[in-house]
Amino acid sequence: MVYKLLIVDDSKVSRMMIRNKVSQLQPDWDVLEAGTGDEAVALVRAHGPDFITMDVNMPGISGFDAVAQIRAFDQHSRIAMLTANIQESSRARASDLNVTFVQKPATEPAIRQALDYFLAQS
Amino acid sequence: MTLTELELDALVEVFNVGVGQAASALSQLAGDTVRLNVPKVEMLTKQGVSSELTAQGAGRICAVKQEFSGVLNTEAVLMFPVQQSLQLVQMMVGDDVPLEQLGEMEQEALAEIGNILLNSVVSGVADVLKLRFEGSLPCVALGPVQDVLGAQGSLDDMVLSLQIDFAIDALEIQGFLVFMLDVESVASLKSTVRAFLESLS
Repeated sequence: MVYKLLIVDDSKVSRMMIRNKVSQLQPDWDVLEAGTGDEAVALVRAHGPDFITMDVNMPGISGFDAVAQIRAFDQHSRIAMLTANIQESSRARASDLNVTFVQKPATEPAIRQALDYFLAQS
Repeated sequence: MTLTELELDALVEVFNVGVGQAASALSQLAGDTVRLNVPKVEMLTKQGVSSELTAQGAGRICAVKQEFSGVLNTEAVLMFPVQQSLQLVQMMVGDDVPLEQLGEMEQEALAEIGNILLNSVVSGVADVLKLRFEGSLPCVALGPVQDVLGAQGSLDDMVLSLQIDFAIDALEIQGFLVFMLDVESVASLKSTVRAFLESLS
């Protein structure tokens, strides 16, 4: 099955790393990218991706705020916060928003962890 | 405002937890073991911090700076000798970025390395001390260590400095992490560390 993944990260390098690993593991998936939370919200409205990897610390609205906005109109996409901000308070916020939490760096095991979460209940 | 020996000891232990998390992240990126020294905690001027780092080999550096705010405010700086910067970038992105794009990706990649390492340390510290920090976006600076540290405020400002140096032997990479807390934050830190110590007894 071809799924659509949205990668949200203000770092171009980080997006390239995630995209590269995902295309090795799931070469058929359609991959979209957003560099800000606002852009992510707009892309979710326009394209309805199945899965989203979301950075936390970005210019403009944070990844958590973007998820809250997305959840207001989209309950179905599965979202993984992919971030180095692993404070307990951030983990608790992720849990409140019903999204999973994957620790950066975006190495293959980290990306596998996110993909396993996405595919577990698809 | 000074910290007692026990409070300083507690602070070193707390930062060790955070630095351990950063080392784990760095080791995943490098695919190799990261050697760390125990954090050194001192009240110094920024000039003093700069002189110590210069004496340890951090002359001209590339640095990633990030500010963390909450109950206490700290400026965190990750530094590498400037000649190691491309090597670090390659370590970070591996084969994910074509070689011809490496140069133009340098600052982006450094910012991301800094973001990962500094957040790892601060997350560890926040969890042990039961605090919450908000981080600014990382910014990259190049130049002599005293220019980088003195870019905000004055080099005569007193700060609580936590210094950690680390090395990835196989890649011949050496780096320095410094957390600088202003004097007002030291008072908050002192009461936080006291509460932490009380929770242990």
